[in-house]
Amino acid sequence: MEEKRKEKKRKNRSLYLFLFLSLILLTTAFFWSVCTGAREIRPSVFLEALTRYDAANVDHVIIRTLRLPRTVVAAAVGASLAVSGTLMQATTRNPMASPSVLGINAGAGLGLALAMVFVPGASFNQTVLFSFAGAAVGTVTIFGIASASRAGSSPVRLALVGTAISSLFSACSQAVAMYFKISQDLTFWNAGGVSGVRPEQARLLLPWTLAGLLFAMSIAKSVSLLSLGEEVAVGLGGKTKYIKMAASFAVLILTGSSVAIAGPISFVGLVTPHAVRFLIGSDYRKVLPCSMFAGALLVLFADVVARMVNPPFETPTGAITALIGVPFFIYLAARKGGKG
Amino acid sequence: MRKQQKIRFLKRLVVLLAVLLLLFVISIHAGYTKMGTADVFRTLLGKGNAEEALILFDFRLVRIVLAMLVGAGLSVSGTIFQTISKNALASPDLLGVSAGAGIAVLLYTFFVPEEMAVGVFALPFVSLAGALLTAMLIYSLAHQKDRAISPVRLVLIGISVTSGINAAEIIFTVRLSPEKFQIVHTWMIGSVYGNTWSHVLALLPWLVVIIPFLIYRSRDLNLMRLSDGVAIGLGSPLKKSRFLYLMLAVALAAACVSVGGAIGFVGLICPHLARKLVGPNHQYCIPVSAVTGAVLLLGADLVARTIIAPNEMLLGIVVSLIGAPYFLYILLTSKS
Amino acid sequence: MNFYADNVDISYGKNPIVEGLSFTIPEKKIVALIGANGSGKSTILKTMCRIMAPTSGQVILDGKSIHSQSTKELARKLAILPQNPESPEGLTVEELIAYGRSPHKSGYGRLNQKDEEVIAWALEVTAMQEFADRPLEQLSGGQRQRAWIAMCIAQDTNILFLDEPTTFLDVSYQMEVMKLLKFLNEKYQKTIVMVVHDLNQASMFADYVVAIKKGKIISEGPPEKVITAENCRKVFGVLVDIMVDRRTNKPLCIPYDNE
Repeated sequence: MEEKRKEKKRKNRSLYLFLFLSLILLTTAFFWSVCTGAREIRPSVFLEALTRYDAANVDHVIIRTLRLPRTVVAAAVGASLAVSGTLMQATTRNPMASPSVLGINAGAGLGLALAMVFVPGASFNQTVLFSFAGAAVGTVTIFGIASASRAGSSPVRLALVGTAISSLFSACSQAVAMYFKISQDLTFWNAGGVSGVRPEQARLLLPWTLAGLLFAMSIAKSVSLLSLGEEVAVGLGGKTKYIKMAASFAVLILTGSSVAIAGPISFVGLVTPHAVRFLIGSDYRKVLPCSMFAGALLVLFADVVARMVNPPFETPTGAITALIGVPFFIYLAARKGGKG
Repeated sequence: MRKQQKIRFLKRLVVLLAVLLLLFVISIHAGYTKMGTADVFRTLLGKGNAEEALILFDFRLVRIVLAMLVGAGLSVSGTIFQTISKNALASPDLLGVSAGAGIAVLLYTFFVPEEMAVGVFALPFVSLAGALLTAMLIYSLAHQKDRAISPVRLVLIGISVTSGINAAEIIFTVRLSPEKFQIVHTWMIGSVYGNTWSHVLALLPWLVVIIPFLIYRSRDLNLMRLSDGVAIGLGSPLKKSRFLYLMLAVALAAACVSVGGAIGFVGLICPHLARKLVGPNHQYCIPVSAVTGAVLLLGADLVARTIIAPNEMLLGIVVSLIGAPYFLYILLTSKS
Repeated sequence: MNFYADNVDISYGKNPIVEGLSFTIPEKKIVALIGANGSGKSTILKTMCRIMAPTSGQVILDGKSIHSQSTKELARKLAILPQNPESPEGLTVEELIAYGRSPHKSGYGRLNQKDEEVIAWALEVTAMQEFADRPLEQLSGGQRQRAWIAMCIAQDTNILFLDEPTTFLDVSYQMEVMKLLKFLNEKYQKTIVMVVHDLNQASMFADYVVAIKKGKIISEGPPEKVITAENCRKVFGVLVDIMVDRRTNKPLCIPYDNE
C-alpha cells in the first residue's frame, strides 16, 4: 500500500511538473513567435500593440494583422491535432492512429479541391465548410471501415487502411485538380502551414477549437475507460457506442477546423500522445490536457523554425513537423515491429 | 482435385488473354487521327505511308506495349510483396520505390538547370537510382541481426519512410516554377505518354528475366506465405529467401516506376484479384496477376486518352479511380 | 537416431530464458513438455527444432549441430507444427498437404507419382479425404488442425514437433488430435515431441514427460514418475491429489489449492 501511494505521488508530481513546464515553455514560444520573422520586434512593442494600438505604427500593424493571428492559430491547430490524435489512439487502442495516418487530412484536401473548382471566388467561410465536409467524409469512412470490418484490430492493418484511404482521396483531388488545372494551388495547401493566416480566419477558427477542446476534456473520463478495451469498459458501466461517437465527433470538429485553415500538418497527432504518455503515464484524464499543451507547443515551435530555416522564404510548417515526427515514427515502428 | 485447379487456371488465363487482346485492338484504333481497321492492318504489315507508320508504331503501339509491361511488372511485384509481408493490404509502394523515385526526380528537376537537363530521357535513370536507394534504406532500417526480416516491421518502416519522403517533397514542390512543376507532377502521378521504343527496350529485360524466375521458384514462394515456423519446418531458408525475393520485387517495381512514373493501386489490387481468380498458389497467381495488371493498365490508358479527348487525363489518376473502389471492397470483405 | 541438446543457453534479446540445458529426446516415444506459462517450454521446443538459435551450446542430431545443417536437409528429418499457424486465404487442404512435399523437391518441383501417393496417404491417415478440396478457412478447428498435421506427415519425417497442438480446441477435438498423434506413433514409430498445457493429457498420451520451470528441467521420465504431487507443487505451485486412472493405470491429477 505504502509503495502504491508513493508511486501515485510520484506520478502526480510529474504531472504538475509537466503542466508547469509546458506553461512556461508555451509563454516563451508565444513571445518568440510573435517577435521573430522578417522584421524583428521587441516584446515591449508587442505589449504596446495590444494595449495602445496605433494604426500608423508598422510594427503594431504587423503584430495585429500577421504575427498574432499566426501564433494563435499555430497553437490552436497544434492543440486540436494533438487532442484528436490522443482521442483516436485511446478509442481504437491503436498506437498508429492519428488524423494524418488515417486519411482524414486527405479527405479535407479533397473538400478544398472541390471548393476551389466549384465555388471559385468562395469566401473563406465557404472554403472552410467544404474542407470540413471533406474531413467528415474521411472520418466517417475510416471509423466506418474500422468498425465494420476487422480493419481496426491491429496497428499494421489500421495503418495500411489509412494509407490506402489517403491515396484514394488524394487520387480524387488530383483528378479534379488536373481537370481544372489547379494542381499547384492545391500543392501549396497540401504543404500545410500557418504563414498566411489572416485575423478573420483566426477569429473563425477559435470558437470551433475551444468548443472542440472543451468537449474533448469533458469526455476524458469515459475515454479513459474505453482505452482499457471495449469489454472492460462495458463491464465498468461505460456506454462504449456513445463514447466512441462522442470521441469521433470531437475528432471531426478539431481536425476539420484546423486542417481547413492550416492544411495537413502531419505527425502532430501521432507523436504528441506518445511523448505525453511516456512522460506521465496512460491515464487519459491526464494525457488529454497534457497533449493539448504539448501539441500547441510543438506546432508553435515548428512554425518559428519554419520561419528561420531559410529566410526570407517560409518553409511549410507541415514539413518541419514531419522532420521531427518521422524519426520518432520509425523508432515506434521498429520497437512495435520487433515485438511482432 | 488439384487437376481441376489447373484447368480452372488455364481457362481463366485464356479469358484474361482474350480481354487483353480485345483491349489491344480497341486501343490501336483509338486516337486523335481516325484509322480504319484496314488501314491499321496495312500499316502493321509495313505497307502504310510514313505518317500512318509514325502514328501507329511510335505513338500508339509504344504506349500500348509500355502500359502492358508496366502493368504486368507492378502487379507481379505486388504479388511478391504481399506474399513476403503476409498481408493482402500491403502495397508495393511501401517498399519506398515510388517515393524514392519521386523525390529523386523532384530533386533532379529542382537543382539541374533547364538548359543542362537532358529532358525526359534522363528521368528513368534518376528515378531508378532513387528507387533503389530508398528501398535499401527501408530494408536496412527494418533489418535485425541474425533474424529473417520481420514483415510487420518492414511494413511499418515502409509507411514511416514514405510519409517522411512525401513531406520532404513538399518543401521543394512549392518552390518549383510552373513549367517544372508540370514535369514533376505528371511523372509523380504516372503516365506512359511520350515514351519511345528505347524505354520499352530498357524495361523489357527486367520483366523477361525476373517474372519467369519467380514462376520457376513458385514452390518456394508458396512457403513464404505460411507462418515462419511452418516455412522453416518445410525447409525454406527463410532469411535468404526473403531477402532475395524482396530485392527482386523492388527491382521489378523500380524498373516499372522509372518508365511509367509512380502509378499506384496496380500492385495492390491486381494480386488480390489474381488470387481470387486462381487461388494463392504462385505457379498460378503470378502469371494471372501479370496479365491482370496488363489488362488494368491498358484499359486505364485507353480511358485516360479518350475520356477528355483531345486532352489527356493522367494514367495514374484513372488507375486510382478504378482501383480505389475495388480496394474499399477488399477492405470491407476481408476477414482476419 | 541420436538427438540431444548439449549445455544450451537461450535468450530473448538480453533476457536469458534457458541456461545450461542438456536433454536427450528418447526415440520413437511421445514426449510431452509441461510447465507453467513463461517457463520456457515453448522456447526449448523452438530451439530443438531450429526455429530459434541458442546463444551458446548445441543441439545435435545424428552427430551434427542442427543449426549448422542445411534447413532443407533437416526438413526431411523433422517436421514442425507451430502454435496457430496461418495460411493464405483460399488455400485448400490438399494444396496445403502438397506443400509438405517441398523438402523433397528442387526447382519448380513438379509432383511425381510417389508424392501423389504420400499426399493420398496423409489424407487417409488423418481422415481428411472428404475435405481435400475445401479451403482451410471453412473448416472447424479440429479439422484444420488435422489438415496441418497431415501436411507435417506428408513431409515423411521420423520426428514431429508440435507446439500446443490442442490449445483453442474443444474437448472432443482435443481427443481427436491426440488420438491421431498416438496412432502415428504406434503405427509408424514416429518420435513426437510436443508442448502440452493439460497435465492429464500429457499423462494419458505421452510416454515420456519433461517438467520445466524457469528454463530448467525439474523432472523427466515416464508419467508415473514425473506427475507427482511433489512435482506439481514445484513446477506449477499448486497442490494436487494424484489418483490412478483405472482405465490406463496412468496418474490423474486433481488440483485443489494454491501453494
